[in-house]
Amino acid sequence: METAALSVRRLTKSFGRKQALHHVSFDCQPGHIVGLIGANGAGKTTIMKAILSLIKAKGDITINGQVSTFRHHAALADVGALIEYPGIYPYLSGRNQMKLFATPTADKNQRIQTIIQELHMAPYIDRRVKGYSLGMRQKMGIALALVNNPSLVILDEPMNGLDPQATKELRELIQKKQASGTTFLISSHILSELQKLAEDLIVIDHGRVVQQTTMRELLARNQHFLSLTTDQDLRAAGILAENGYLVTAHAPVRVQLRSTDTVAAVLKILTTYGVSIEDVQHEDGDFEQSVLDLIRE
Amino acid sequence: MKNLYRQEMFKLLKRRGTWWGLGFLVLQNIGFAWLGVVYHTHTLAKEFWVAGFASPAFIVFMMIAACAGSISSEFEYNTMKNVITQAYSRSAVLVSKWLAMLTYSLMLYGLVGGLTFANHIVWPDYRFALTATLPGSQQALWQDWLTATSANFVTLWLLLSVVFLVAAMLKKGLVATLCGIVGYFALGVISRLMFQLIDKWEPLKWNPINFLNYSVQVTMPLLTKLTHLTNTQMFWGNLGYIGLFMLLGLYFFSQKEV
Ligand SMILES: Nc1ncnc2c1ncn2[C@@H]1O[C@H](COP(=O)(O)OP(=O)(O)OP(=O)(O)O)[C@@H](O)[C@H]1O
Ligand SMILES: [Mg+2]
Repeated sequence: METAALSVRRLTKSFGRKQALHHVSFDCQPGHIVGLIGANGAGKTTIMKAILSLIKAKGDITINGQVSTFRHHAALADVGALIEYPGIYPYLSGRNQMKLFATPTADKNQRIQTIIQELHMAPYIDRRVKGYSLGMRQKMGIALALVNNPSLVILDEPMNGLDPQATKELRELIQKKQASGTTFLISSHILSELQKLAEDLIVIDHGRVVQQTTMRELLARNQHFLSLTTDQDLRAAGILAENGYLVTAHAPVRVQLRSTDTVAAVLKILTTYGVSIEDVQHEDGDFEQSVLDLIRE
Repeated sequence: MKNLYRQEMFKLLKRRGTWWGLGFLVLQNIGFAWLGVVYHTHTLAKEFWVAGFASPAFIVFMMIAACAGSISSEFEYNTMKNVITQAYSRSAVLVSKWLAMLTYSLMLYGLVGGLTFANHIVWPDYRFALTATLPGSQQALWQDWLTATSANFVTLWLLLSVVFLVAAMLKKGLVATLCGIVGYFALGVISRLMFQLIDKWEPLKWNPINFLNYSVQVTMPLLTKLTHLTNTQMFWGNLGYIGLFMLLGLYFFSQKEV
């Protein structure tokens, strides 16, 4: 097996008497986008801070096969991060802010220029950060996380304060970086946002990993319904129920599609019985609901 | 480590306060030299020159603020996590801050030294021979200046090591600044009481505040009767305390959660 880009084992953290993390373990495979989901106060930020050696925690952190601890974290050379809200020196311009943290290699200015273009920051990058808006600051934080082309990027609620356009651009940038092999660990409240990005999901509740799954699996768990309008709804419902379908409503007829049920089969049965179908609608259950169900389980 | 030092210097040089400080010192030094000319006290001109036109006292305040700010501003701007989540340990971060501040203090002293010598050349009142001696001194004027300035520099760093320690412990710049300034003035306020106590109980002479007298003692040898310490003891004691406070600061800082 490939070495995981990030491996977290039995991470445990207490703030005074309050235990914030209980034996949290998970892996991020190289080149994957991993989503960290959990309610407010579930422990997402705390997990990320522990990975980044910002806080002391019990347990083992391995980054690209290299052990990383609170005191010794040379492995972070290959990690970029944005935790909570971006840290910014108000007296520097955006460009200088990046010059400050960009590793001094020959292509330093080139890297900075690229990220400025990718995040469309050119119009204000040479202004002092003091005057930036919330979204501009957020982009600044993301730019800082990406400027050294790290192999692992940790983003805590990266879409905070971004408008829909910027959100879309960031999503595309993340996907582009992923295509070139970068691993992402992203926490977000905006589940639909993670739905579009993450392949792997780690669901956190009260400081515990309650589920480690893939987005595909989660979407599969999601319930699908077929809503039918016919010339004789009641009869149609009866016919479907007799044939073993899960009918959940009568007018219009609503059928829950299990993994073996197909739309074609439903329609075929009804036409065989001479029911004429006026309208068919496919309804997806709520993605957020399935995540909430996971947490409740 | 080299990269951390580069970052610290970058931040220092991009701060407006750094340049305001340098500009202020230029005006202060020349201004005081001018005042010395206007209030024509020719007998004191040599002493005034040896004392670098009081610039070291202003450097103390500027450096206290700069050192306290170099740690507390990172917490204030929420940038400490950017600094920490690099490949370097917390100790390396703190050491790079010390080195940047050391560089800044040397810059200020270099500037003031240059200005002090420039004043000597420019103003007729200060154009005395630097090889002359002050009454009661065994060495030439320029040597007096060098001794006084070096001793000032050492005691400055004794204060700064405390400021760093407090800033690393509390994250609060204001508290650290106050500690430095109070430390600076405490000397004047409590020294009489301290000297009396030292007379009664000898070991008390080893307390760090007594070592702040070093910079005065090198120009006023009589003070050793009160401090009960020789200049050499003063010098090594200063270095010892600086090392101790810095190690303590290192310990606290390396435990710091962000
Ligand atoms: N510095 C701290 N001191 C005390 N308790 C803390 C501290 N930081 C976090 N906690 C506690 O740890 C728990 C997890 O907090 P954390 O910030 O990790 O949550 P989160 O999942 O990031 O929440 P959110 O979605 O609101 O950002 C919370 O109960 C919080 O009260
Ligand atoms: Mg959080």
